[in-house]
Amino acid sequence: MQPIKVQRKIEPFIVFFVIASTQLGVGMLGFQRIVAASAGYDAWISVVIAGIATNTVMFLIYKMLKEEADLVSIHQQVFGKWLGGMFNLLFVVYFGYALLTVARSYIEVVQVWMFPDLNVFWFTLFFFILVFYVVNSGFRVISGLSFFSIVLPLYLILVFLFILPYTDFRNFLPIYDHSIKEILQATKDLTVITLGYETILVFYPFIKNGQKSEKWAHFGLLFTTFIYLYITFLTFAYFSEEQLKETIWPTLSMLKIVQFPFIERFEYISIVNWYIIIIPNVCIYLWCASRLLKRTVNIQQRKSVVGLLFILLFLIPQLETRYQVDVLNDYIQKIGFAVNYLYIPLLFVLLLIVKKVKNKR
Amino acid sequence: MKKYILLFLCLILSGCVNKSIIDEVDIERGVGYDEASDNKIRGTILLSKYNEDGTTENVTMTVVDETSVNILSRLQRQSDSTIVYGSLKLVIFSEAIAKKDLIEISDAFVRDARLGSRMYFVISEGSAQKVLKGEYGDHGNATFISDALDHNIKHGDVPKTNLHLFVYDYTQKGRTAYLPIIKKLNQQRIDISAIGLLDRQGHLVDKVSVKDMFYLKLLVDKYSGGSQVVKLDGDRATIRSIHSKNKIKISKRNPLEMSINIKVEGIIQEYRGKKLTQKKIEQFEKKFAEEINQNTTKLIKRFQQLGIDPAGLGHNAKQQTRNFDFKKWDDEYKDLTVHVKTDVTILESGVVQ
Amino acid sequence: MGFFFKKGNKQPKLKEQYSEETDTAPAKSKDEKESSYYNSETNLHFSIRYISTIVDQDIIQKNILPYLLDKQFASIADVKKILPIEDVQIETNEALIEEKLFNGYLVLKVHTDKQHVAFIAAKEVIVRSLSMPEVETSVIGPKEAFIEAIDQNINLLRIRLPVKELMIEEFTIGSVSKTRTALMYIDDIANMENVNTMRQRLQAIDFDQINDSSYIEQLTADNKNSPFPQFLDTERPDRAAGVLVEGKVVVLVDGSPHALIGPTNLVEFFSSPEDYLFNWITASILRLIRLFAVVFSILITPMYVAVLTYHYELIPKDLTATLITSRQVIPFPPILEALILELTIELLREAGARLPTKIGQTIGIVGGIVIGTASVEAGLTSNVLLILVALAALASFITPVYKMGNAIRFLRFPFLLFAQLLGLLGIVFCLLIVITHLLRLTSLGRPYLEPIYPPRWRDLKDSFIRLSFDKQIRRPSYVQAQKEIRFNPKHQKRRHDIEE
Repeated sequence: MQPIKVQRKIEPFIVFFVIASTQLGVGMLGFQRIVAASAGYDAWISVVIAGIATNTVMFLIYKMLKEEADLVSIHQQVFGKWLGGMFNLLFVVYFGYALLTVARSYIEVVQVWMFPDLNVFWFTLFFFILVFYVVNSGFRVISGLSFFSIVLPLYLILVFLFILPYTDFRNFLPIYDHSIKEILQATKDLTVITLGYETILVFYPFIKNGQKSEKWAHFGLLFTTFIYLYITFLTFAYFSEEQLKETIWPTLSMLKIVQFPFIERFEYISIVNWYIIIIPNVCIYLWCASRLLKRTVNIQQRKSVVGLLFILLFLIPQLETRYQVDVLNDYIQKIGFAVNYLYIPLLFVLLLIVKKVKNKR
Repeated sequence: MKKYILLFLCLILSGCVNKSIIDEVDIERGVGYDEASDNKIRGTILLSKYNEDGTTENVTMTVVDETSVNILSRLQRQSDSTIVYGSLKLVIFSEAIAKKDLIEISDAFVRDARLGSRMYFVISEGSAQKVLKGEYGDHGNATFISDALDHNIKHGDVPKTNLHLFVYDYTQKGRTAYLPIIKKLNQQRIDISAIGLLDRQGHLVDKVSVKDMFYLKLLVDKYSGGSQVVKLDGDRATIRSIHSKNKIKISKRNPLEMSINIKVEGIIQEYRGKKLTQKKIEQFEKKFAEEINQNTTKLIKRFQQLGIDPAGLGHNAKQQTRNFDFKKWDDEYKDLTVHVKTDVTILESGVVQ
Repeated sequence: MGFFFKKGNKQPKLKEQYSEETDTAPAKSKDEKESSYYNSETNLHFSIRYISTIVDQDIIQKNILPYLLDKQFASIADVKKILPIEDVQIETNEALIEEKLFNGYLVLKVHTDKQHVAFIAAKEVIVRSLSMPEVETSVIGPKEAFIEAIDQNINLLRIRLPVKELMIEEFTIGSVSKTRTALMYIDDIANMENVNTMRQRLQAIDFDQINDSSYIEQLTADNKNSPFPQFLDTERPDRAAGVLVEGKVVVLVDGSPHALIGPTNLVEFFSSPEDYLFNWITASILRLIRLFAVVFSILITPMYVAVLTYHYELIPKDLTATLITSRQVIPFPPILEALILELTIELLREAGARLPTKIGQTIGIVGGIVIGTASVEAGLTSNVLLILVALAALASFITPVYKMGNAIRFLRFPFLLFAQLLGLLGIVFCLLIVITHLLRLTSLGRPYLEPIYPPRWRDLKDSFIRLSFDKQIRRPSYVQAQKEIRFNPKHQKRRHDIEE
């Protein structure tokens, strides 16, 4: 691997924004229904547990990255060149799939909430031109966009307060009315929304003083946990349990009640805002996939970006119904859970063993 | 360069979405549903047409069809420009519909993302079509009625309601929904004449008249702004509640007993009688509290008999019980003892003694 | 004019020598003069050659010729002694003759010494007097502006910064125009990396003509395809001096009354020199208003188009009536209506800028009122939009730097187009493209969006707001000055407890 120029690197504290922006995405619009399905109004506990879980995995990731530069070299250490390469390619597929899910889910939101007659192909093309422009500018610009995607929509936190007159926080009572199993099930379901931070395995070499960024990565995770918790609290206080089960995008439905003297329907503004939120999300996945391809099979990153975008451009319009999007989300949930909470800890243990063995020699 | 060509292509080819230019569409502001013969529904929509002099013209269109959803598409065919329904403000159900199909019809309103959550569902005494056909105010009928509800909710006796709260109450286990009932007085006036109470299936079963609206609001709403006349030994005071709270608790288990603690903070708006001393005020507080106790207890008895629960006693009981069993609750509810305890504080009595 | 003789009358040899040169040259300009003289005291024949239109005849007749003819002028080395002129160079390199000649030097040749040539400075500099700043006007504060003469401009800066560390490097740029360009910086403050980058870029310029500092700006920009200016330009010596002290680099170009400043960032373009003259609270509020105005001016018309075309639900019910009635008679969709009005405003602005000041003002007022009301009455545009466009135009004038103002002016057209295509989503799409573009942009290699991104808490004190001077302890971090600390805060007064 060639050393990366200092100008291309980002400062440690930017990791906060990058990590947070990978986690905040289109999942935030509809996670409440999924978690409430199994844990009811106790699902907020699941959010806290999921927060702890992500932080644990992040801790493991940083321990690994202390030893090795990035995912590719970890794989190489653990599995050797060929098998490691195979695993890299699997990760490329995983990132590509995540990218597909995020993009398609957002386009679905636009379809349902804004333009029912949207031409998916053309909109995707629009979308991808922007994505290409961003990814083409390199990681520094992507991280910059992550920063904006956190800072610009931050005002929404305050906007959510306008629903307070319609909330009843006694809905949470009695606390802990569900079994541990149900809560853990909800935690597992939550992984779909907390995905994304594992990308640090790929972009880690682009951080100045990598290890110094650890606390910022954890802060990023805490920040998203806080945001999710905040929205969960408000949602559960706002909806009745039955109502929530039928609402696909509770976050947006909630914003429907917000009204200002100059804007009557705030959810439109928030959908548009979500565009800013998901762009870095999509870009990071794409960048990571192409970076892995470059590191594994040595394809020029620009070419693989264009290639991936073209594949997705023709895949996305094929997925037409709500059901298909749901299936897409179901799979990413399962795969993401496996990658983050099974594979990464396993990799950590394997790396530990490999290092021990090599040291003994 | 390739990028720019692609972008250019995009611009040309993107007839991606349909436009709805504001002055080229008809904006539907209200809709009303009445019963028609053969189990059909008569739907009336209210369009706002804006004249250049700033007045709003009410245009109503009526059609009879089997389902409520078809009504709009049938009316589209009769209109010269597209009718858009995104800023619908008001849905009126006639009493007959409210007793039967209200929930089926409302499904379309809940499902559609285009519609706002602040829309009002209202039941009309008499035909909904007749209500929509009036000429109220300068800004259109729908605006007039929704504004009337708005300010009565904020400053009057009408408990808080809108599409979201209706769905919330209806779907919440251990709670039933209510909707305001309006009556057309004459061509220029309407009146909020009662609050309709719906049962668990969403059928209108009872009405709370104007007299009891204040007490209903104390039970179902978090804040109350209504006023009430209290008489005491020939003296009379109008007390306006500026702030109220209710707390519903399980006071005893096996057998279950519940208590409702109502706290009212109010001001004396009008007083007729002897000098208003602190003692007198305290007497008024007590008298008012008593009246509230009596009336709300009466209301709750009525709810229990009908098997409805707009105050959400069941929901509150559930919050205070682990592994709450709603089946058991249904049996218990009818004979449940409910104690109402009210605490009235009069904060001010105006600028004169 | 008794001194002048016909060229080559007395010195056939010299003439030969010159004619050799002039033969190779295509043609001789009318104002190129050459004459020969004889110093009777030392018995020396010599000739002078000059371009009559750029030398000062007074100097020749009063300060040069009398001395050359009457004093002890025995060899070419004596020239330095006898002439009261400082800038006299004796060179052996004949190739220099051409260059010096056209830079206002007298070329002196002595008959006996063919190897040496003397160049005597006799340039006539026509300088207009200092005037008030015209682009960056201010109500209070210094009232002088740069002029076209570079020496004069350097002089203005030197007066403000009388320290030996103020360095000036000079370059001649332009294969035809030979424009003198000065690179200025303060030696122990400015980051040498910035200076080197600028120097390299100046040296790398290969262009025939430099008419103004704007040429240099465009030729040395980091991204030449960006609508945003990447160097701040100013006509105010106080501003130039101010940024020099901040550690930035200033480029002065002969013939241009505008200095270039780099590195700069986006926010700096919205700061006016007056911001440093008011107290910090007023200044901060003014800056915030300015930034708000910019966002408003870019977004308001596109929002109008987006909302009226796609998102009627967003419009509050009380506003719907106003909007619909105002648009009722208009035959065009909102986008056309907006484009017509925006283009009209742009036309008025262009016309106003091209015409002489007085007529320009009249055009602005007449055009604004007459065309505006007429188009509303004719039913071509709605009065609501007219108000919005006029407000947007007003807001766009607020940008203190003219070039940035122009960039912003045209930024709203792509926004309009995308608003028409995808409504609010299109606006955000465009916004994201602009943000990405700004993220990519650098000025002298320093990030353009700083202190927003990369976020620098410290630099916020002089960006969206301006804190008081005693808080400005450090120089802006994106400049990466050698000396970061401006002053020692220890000398400041300690904060005391509440007076007892």
